[in-house]
Amino acid sequence: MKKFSLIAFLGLVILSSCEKVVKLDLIDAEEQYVVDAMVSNVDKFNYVKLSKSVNFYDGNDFKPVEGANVVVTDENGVAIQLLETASGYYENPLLVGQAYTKYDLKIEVDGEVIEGSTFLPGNSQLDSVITLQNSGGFFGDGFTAFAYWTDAGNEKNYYRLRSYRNDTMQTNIVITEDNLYNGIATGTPLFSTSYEEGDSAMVELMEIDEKTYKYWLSLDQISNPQNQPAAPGNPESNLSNGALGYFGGYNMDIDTVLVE
Amino acid sequence: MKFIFWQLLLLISLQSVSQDKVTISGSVKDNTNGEDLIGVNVLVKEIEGSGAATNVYGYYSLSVPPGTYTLLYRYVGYTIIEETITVTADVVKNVELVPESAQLEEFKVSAQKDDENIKSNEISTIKFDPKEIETIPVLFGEKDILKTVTLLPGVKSAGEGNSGFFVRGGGADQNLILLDGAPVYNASHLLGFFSVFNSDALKDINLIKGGMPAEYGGRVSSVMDIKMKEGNSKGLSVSGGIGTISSKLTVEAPIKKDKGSFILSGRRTYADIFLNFAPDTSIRGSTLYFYDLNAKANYAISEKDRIFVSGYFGRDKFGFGDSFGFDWGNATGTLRWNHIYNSKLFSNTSLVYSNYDYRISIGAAGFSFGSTIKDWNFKQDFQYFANDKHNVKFGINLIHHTFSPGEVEVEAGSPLLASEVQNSLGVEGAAYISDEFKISPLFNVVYGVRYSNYAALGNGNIFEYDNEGNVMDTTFYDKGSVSKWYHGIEPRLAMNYIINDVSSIKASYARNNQYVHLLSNSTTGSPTDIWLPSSNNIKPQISDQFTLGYFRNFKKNMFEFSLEGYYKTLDNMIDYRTGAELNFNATVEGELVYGEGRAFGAEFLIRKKKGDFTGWLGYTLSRSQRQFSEINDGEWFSARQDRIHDVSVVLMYSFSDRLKGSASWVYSTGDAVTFPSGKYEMDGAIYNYYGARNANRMPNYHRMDVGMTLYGKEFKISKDPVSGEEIKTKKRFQSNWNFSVYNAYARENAFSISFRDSEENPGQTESVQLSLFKIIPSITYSFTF
Repeated sequence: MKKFSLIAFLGLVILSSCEKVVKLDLIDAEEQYVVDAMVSNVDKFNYVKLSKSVNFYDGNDFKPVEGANVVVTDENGVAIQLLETASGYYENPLLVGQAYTKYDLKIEVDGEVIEGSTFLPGNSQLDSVITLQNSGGFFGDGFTAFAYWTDAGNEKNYYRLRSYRNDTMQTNIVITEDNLYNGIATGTPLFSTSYEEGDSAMVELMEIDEKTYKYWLSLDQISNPQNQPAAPGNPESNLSNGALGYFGGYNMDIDTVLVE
Repeated sequence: MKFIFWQLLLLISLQSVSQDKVTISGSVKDNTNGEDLIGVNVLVKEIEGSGAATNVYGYYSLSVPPGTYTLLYRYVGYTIIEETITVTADVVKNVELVPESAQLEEFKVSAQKDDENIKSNEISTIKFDPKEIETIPVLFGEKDILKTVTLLPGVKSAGEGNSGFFVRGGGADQNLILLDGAPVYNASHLLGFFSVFNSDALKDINLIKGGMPAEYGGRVSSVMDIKMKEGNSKGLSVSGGIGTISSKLTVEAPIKKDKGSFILSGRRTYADIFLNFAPDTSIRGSTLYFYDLNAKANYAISEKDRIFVSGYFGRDKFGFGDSFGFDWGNATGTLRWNHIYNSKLFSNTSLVYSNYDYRISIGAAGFSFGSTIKDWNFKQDFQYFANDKHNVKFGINLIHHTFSPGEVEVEAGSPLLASEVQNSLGVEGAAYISDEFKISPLFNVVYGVRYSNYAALGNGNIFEYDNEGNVMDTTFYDKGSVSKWYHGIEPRLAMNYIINDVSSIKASYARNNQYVHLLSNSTTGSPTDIWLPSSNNIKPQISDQFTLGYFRNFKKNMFEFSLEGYYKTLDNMIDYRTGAELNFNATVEGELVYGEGRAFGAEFLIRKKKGDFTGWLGYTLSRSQRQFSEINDGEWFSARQDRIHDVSVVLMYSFSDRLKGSASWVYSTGDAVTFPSGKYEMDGAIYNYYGARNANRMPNYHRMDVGMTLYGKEFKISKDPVSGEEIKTKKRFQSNWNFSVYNAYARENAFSISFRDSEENPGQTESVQLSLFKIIPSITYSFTF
């Protein structure tokens, strides 16, 4: 229910609010392993990125974790060892995800083992991506992208959408489930990015399973400051040994349009 | 349970039969407007320690042996009436008291005694007459009882400018807010900055923090019982106010003089009118306002019967043209019948309807969604004035709840389907009996018991969940069948021992069960928060509270001092799994976790009630903690509202009859919150890493408000043409100007703190504090005629 942020916004505009940067006395935690891993039907989106967390007021300098032994095994027992092609970045061109398949991840690093498993669901296709100029006023006069697809009626479907403006990925989280559109043609605006004429707009529709959906949902609720969560915590990960991050299966369809 | 009930009744009736006494009963009203006066002391001079107090309908009854007596009718702010009466049989004695302020200066006689706080057995109770607080400065100059009440010990505001409140470490949803007996589910207007209560239409506010009498139940923390005015039964009166962001008008008049009257009071904000002048064109054309309407009528159909009809209707509207709309509101209606069976038995029967709903429409996407709560509430209360030692109250209450947590409507061509989350139905029942027993002139006890139950009714699926919150089993229940039944006995006890004329010790114990629960995972509360009833998964919340207090008055009751301590345990508290989805979730109960709570504290209050200089100083030292096996490895942690120190100072000074100044200052420890303990990078974005729940603190909060009220001339002075003496006559038209400044020294209090990527220093993250109100001046003009 992201719409409520609009209310909070207008409320604050009217009242004499003021914002300032403050330095707080935070409780620093020990550094944690962070696993950013995915399997998908698209070659380049099969990788495992390993890094460590830092203190909040430190710079965004996340140390890559090198020299790990990383193996992905599919449900048929086919195991593929990933190779470290860049510092803390592990991949193997032989690994390309298949729809309706379960994958296990095992990472061995510095005597510790991190394990997790995910499911790569079936594939929904984008029907179209269009961009429309906003009506002005509150929404501004840039362009907004809309993604349309048809939901499969015979199963419960969950989706994540990622959009790019001229190859720059937008980092906000867009997820949806078919609760309100099971089996029909549906669509969603991708409000967070305002495009200009001449931009290229790329949209990835990624079908995910329920666990992956819940992970992104939690992460969005916790990290989106407009949600003002009463009790933020770490989202429930599918990784063992207290590791942060997630190992997700994504079935992707990609479309690019020119904004005009 | 039934056994205790009958035993009590038997005990009391036996005692009343054994004595040969007559009864003096009747009503006490205000002589200027005919309003019933609540809590007037009726004393018999000749009998030490005897007496009665009027109930909420202004009715009293007392028993004496036949004889000649001097009766005293005593009420703060009114002239005492002393009358000699000879009684040989039961007699009805109706009295009208004259307010001190309505009298000419030279005849002013002050109530000699003002030791209600010592003598009364009410503990942990805050009483307000809206008039008493009218000069206290408030945000936007909009008088608001829900905000003023937070200036007293044990009551804390839910946030900057917020009309929600926390009582003794409980949650905002654990307060039973009754408007003329109708429960109000969402007491906030305009994102919480205003309460739904228009103080012009209110007569009496009673907040009970502990030791609730058995007649109240259903929430575990407190009871706020708000009574609307009945309306002037003597003549037409009109009052109103024009303020910085809202205006209001109240009309009262008799239906038939001294027989019946009505009151109609309306209020509307007009902040949105200013939006049309906003420099930013994007804000123009948006709507943002609320209105509310209070109406009440009463009519005495006979000496013994009186009928009341009252209603409240309020609505908030918010939107941007056709593309987005959001509105919500409460509607309540009460039909009430007072009947005097005989001079000792007073009955009150009420039928209450209440409705809360919200709807959000997104024109651009062609759909809208909303939620509703509907209650039908039947109450039968009896008050039996058994004899001069016992005053018994008993009754029953039945509430039928219909919760519709979510429903989506779509227009043709919408990319969504219409859908509905199933309704939850239930019946909440209660029966109670309590007796106020004057054991001796110095020692009295109110003891009682309330039996409550809740039946969750079918027409829908009941889910069972595993430890991770996944649905394990689904059972369908037919319409009307009971899917789960809970019940509980709630003992209540309050004692007062009067040490001497100026001091007393009071103690109380109360258990409360709560069968409806508010789900809200945002810090500020929202109109879209969901109420859910108890079910096979959600057990009733239960609280047990013990209090002990010492009350002492100084300097002929000029100063009141009180010290109260409390300890409260809370069972079956609700919290959420990380990242719980609460809206539009048919299996929302799977997102909940259950735990315990405890709250304890000490409250100090010193109050000066008389003289040109009045006010109070309150200090609360308290803790409020929770324990959930799923959170912080099962360790106790601070509840969000665990504000350890809380101070409030309110000063009011009367410079002259026409000029009154006031100032208030509040200080409290910052809320317990969860801040990041680190951060990490994933999928191109930076996310925070969190440690223990509520292990951090918001910055401490403090603020001063000041106000000044200038009254128009109250009297017209003319010369008697014969004697040449000055004659003062009270003017019919009275008015005042109120000037106030909220947050006078511009303290930047933290409303929220967010963590984000720094724009100035790329590659860094920063914490940003948002402050809402910096020096808000306001002017209000009020009048009455």
